[in-house]
Amino acid sequence: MLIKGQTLTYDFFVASSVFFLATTILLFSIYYKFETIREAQEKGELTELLISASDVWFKEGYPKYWSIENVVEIGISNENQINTTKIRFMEEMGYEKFASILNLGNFDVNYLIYSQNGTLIYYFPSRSVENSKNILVFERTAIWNDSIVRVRTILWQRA
Amino acid sequence: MAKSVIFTMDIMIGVFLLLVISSAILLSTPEITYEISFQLNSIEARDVINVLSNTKAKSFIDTKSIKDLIENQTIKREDLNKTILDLIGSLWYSGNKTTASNIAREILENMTKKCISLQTENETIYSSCNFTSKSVSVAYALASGYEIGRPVSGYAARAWLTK
Repeated sequence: MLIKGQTLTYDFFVASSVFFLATTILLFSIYYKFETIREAQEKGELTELLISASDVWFKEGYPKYWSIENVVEIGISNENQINTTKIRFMEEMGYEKFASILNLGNFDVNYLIYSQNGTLIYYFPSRSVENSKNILVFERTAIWNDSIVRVRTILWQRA
Repeated sequence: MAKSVIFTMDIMIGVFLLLVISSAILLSTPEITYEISFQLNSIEARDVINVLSNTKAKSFIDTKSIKDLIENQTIKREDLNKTILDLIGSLWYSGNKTTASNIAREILENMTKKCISLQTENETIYSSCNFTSKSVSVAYALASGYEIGRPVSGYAARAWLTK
C-alpha cells in the first residue's frame, strides 16, 4: 500500500503543472489555428463577393444594352468604358432592386468614383457605413468619358 | 543517474516537443491569404492593361511628355488617336525610350499605389519599384505598335503588379 508521501512529491507537482501548462498551450494553438483558417476562408468568400460587386463596372451585363424592364445581369460597361446611360438606369432602378439582382444577401455596397486627381465625381447609392461589420474596400481603374477613373467598391455586412 | 534527473529530462524533452509543435501551428500562415492577395493584384493588373490599351492618347494631352512631343512635332495630332499603349510602344520601338518611359510613369504613377511595372518582351518600360514581393501578378496585352514613320509592327506588353 502506498503512503501519501510517495505519490504527492515535489516532482509530481512540478510534472503535473508542466503537463497541464503545455497541454493548455497546445490546445490554445490548435484553437487559434482553426480560428485563423476559418477567418481566412470567410475572408476569401467575402473577397469573392467584393470582386463580383466591383465587376459590375467592368462588364456589359445581360442583355448587352439592358434597360430597367429587361435587365437580367447588371453591367455598367460597354466597349471597355463605363456607360453613362446605364448609370442612369441603375439610379432609376433604385438600390433595393440593384442589390437583389446582384444577390448581395446580408451585405450592402457603395460605389465611389474618383478622377485621377482624387476628386470624387460620382457615388451610388447614398448610404453610410454605420452599424456594420466586415467592411471590405477594393479600388479598380476604369475608363469613363475617355478619362481614367478610380472605382472604389465598399462592401459591408449589416450588423 | 538519480531518478529525479531522468524525470526532469523527460519533462524537458516533452515540453520542448510541445513548444515546437505549438510554434509550428501558430507561425504557419494559411495559403488562402496569399491567394486573395494574388487574385486582387491580378484583377488590378488586368484593369491597368485594359485601360492602357483602350484609352486614346488624346485623353492624356495635358501630361508634360505628350505636350512636349506635340510642341516638338515629334508626334502629329493624328497620333493622338492611337491608344496610349500603342503610343508608348511606338515611341519605345522608334528609339525614344526615355520619352516612352516618361509617359508611362506620368500615367501609371497616379493609377495605383501598388508596385507596378510595364514591360515589353525583355525590357522594362517603367517600374515604380523593385520586385521584392511574394505576390506578383501579370496581365498581358498584344499591342500594335505603329512606329512613327515606319510600317506596322507588333509587340506584347505586360503589366506586373505587386503588393
